[in-house]
Parts: sequence; structure tokens; C-alpha cells
Amino acid sequence: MTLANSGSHLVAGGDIVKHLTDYPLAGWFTAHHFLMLMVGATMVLVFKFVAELAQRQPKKSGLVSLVEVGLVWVRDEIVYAWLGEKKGRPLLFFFWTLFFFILINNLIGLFPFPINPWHRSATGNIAVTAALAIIAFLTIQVAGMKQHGYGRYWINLVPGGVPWWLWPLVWIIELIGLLTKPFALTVRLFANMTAGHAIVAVLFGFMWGIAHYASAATGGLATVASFAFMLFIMLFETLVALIQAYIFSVLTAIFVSMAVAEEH
Amino acid sequence: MAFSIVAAGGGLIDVNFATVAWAWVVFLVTFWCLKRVAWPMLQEKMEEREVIIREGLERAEEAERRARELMEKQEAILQASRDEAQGLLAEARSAAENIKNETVAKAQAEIGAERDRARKEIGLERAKAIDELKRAAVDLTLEAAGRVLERELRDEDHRRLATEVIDSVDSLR
Repeated sequence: MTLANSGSHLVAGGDIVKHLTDYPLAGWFTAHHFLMLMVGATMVLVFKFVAELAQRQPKKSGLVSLVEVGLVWVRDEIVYAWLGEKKGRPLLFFFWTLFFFILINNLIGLFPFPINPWHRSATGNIAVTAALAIIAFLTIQVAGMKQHGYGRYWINLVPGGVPWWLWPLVWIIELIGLLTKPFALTVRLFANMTAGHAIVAVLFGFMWGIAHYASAATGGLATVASFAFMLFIMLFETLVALIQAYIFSVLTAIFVSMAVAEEH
Repeated sequence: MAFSIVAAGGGLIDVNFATVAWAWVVFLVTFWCLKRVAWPMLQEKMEEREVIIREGLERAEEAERRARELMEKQEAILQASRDEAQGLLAEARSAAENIKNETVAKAQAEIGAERDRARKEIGLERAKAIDELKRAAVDLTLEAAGRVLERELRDEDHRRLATEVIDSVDSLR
């Protein structure tokens, strides 16, 4: 299948699930791999360019201001808001990368053909969200272990006052509780992105299904209505992309704050 | 949920471990690159700007505080000047009143003294006129009596007598 006909299943309005899953390009390399690579490279290039621009120019340009607004927002509303400046500062670069990696991956799925020929976003793939959640999980545990000590952190999973005979069971329950957090992160991001894409794909299918309607008038009306609704959903998805990037980052920050808290 | 190593484009919730590994690699490489070439520079620049903004704000607050203090001082000076002016005005009014009262009292005293002096002078003039009148009456009486008696009454007894008569007439009046 070539790039040009990659979206043909949409035009046919047929297999929606096929549109939502990954698209193989060459061997094990898929569309989602390419998109992630593109997002990563774009991030490095853009942020490097902005950093150099900020260093060179004594007066801020519009682009530098825009990027700084985003960075300050992530820093103040997500990292420092939950971890404080002292504990949040060492993790700031991680959270900046995490937030913008998810955000740009979410947004890239909304771009049409020339930019994103596969009409997909990597964050609509459960393997990608699982990978990000595992990174978040490891960050949370490492931060907790650094704060409380490598052994003590795991022992302290069980709250004080639990009888000794109940201790192993509570520890296992707490460990399961710990593992559900990345699972929740994985499913939340994946489900939100997939649902948005599914709605857009269905509406896109309605729009091009004009030939299948009984009359041209009915088909035309359905096409116009589908197009209008699809535009609305696209705008809504833009908001969802931002909200989901925020939720993933803020939940990670909350989990880190819980792991490094004194009463852990 | 199905797990596969390389199969892309499978089911919706199939976890492709190649994708998981690829996501890790891309994310971590992106993180590493940004940590080296962008984030520290941007953070430094942002904090630099924040320091400048904070200092600017502090300076502005300091300037505002100073301006407020100056205004309060000015207000106090103005109030003191106003109070002083009011005091001076009141003092001037009181002084003017005193001067007026003194002048009026002095004028009244002078008028009183002048009046007394005039009265005294009038009294003296009157007494003098009466004396002269009496003297003239005595002279006329003596002259008339001399003409009647055809001899001149010149001795002191006659004069005294005539004067007593006139005085008695005067006391009868």
C-alpha cells in the first residue's frame, strides 16, 4: 500500500478500526514509529532553535515568548504546583519533554494528508502510551527511592499499624495499587485519542458516502452536516489533545509527589 | 489483548513490543538531546528574565513606596504650612483687633480729655465774663450813683458796698 492510497479505507468509509491501528511501512517500521521519530526530531530542532534565538536576541521574539509561555505553564502549573520548586527542579526537564512529546504527538494526528499521510497519532497506539506510562512509572519509583532510600521505599509501601500477619497481603495489594497507576495512564491517553479519531473517521466516511445515499439532496445534506460536525470535532480534539497531555503530565507529577512525600 | 513482537496494524489493543521499545528509544533520545541542547539554555534565559522582571517589580514597588512617602511628607508639610498660615492669620486678626480697640480707646480718652478741657475753659471764661460783668455793673452803679449824688464815689467802702449789693443780687438769681 502506498502513501497515496493509505487513506483509501476512509474514503470507502469501511473499516474504521483499520484506520485507528498502526500502519506498516517497511518491515517492523510503522507509521507510528515514523510519527514519533518526526515529533522527537521536530521537538529537538524547534526547541534548540528557540533556545539559540533566546540566547542571541536581547529582546524576546514572538516564537520565544510562545514557547516560554508553554514552558512556564508546565513548570508552574504542573511540576512546581505538585512537587514544589526544590523537589520539582531536578525533574523539570523530564516533565517538559513528556508534556510536549505527548502534546505534539496528539496534535499531529489532526493534521491532514501532506503533513500526516496516515491520519494517525502515535498516542492512539496503546503500545506507545504504555511505553510512556512505564517511563512515568519508573520515574515515580526512582524519585521515591531516592527520597526514602532504595529498601525503605518498598518497605514503606505498607502503612504503619498493620498487623504482622497481614503485612505481606497489604504489601501485595499496595504493589498492585502502584501498578494500576501506569495502567490507568496508558488506557486514559490511548482511549481518549482513539475515540476522537474514531469519531472523525466515521464523520469523514459519512461525508464521502454521498454516492451511497438514495438521492443527491439527502446525500448533499448529510455531507454538509458531516463536514460541519467534523470541523467541530476537530476543534474539540485540539482541546482534548492539550487536556490529555496535561492530564498525563499532572498525574505523573501527582504520583511522584505521593512517592516522595514524607508520609509515604 | 494480544501481544506480538513485530506485527503492526493488528487489533486495536494489540501491544507491539517493537513499538514500545521504539517509543522508549525516541522519547529517551529526545529527552537526552533536549537536556543537552535546549532545556538548560531556555531555563537559564527564563530565570534570567524572571530575575529581571522580579527586580523591576521590586524597583517599581520601592519607587512607589518612596513616592508615597514623599507624598505623605509633602502632605504633612502642606498641612503644617496651612496650619501655620491659619495661626498667622488668626494672630494678625487678633493683633488688628487689639490695635483697633486700643486706637478707639485712645481716641475716646482723648475726646473725653478734650471735652473736659473745653468744659473747664468754658467755665473759666464764664466766670471771667461774670466777673467782668460784675465789675462793669459796679462801675456803672458807682458812676450812676455819682451822677445822682454829683460827686464821685471813689473810696473803697463804696466800691465794696456796691460789690456786695451785686453779689447779693447774683445770689438771689
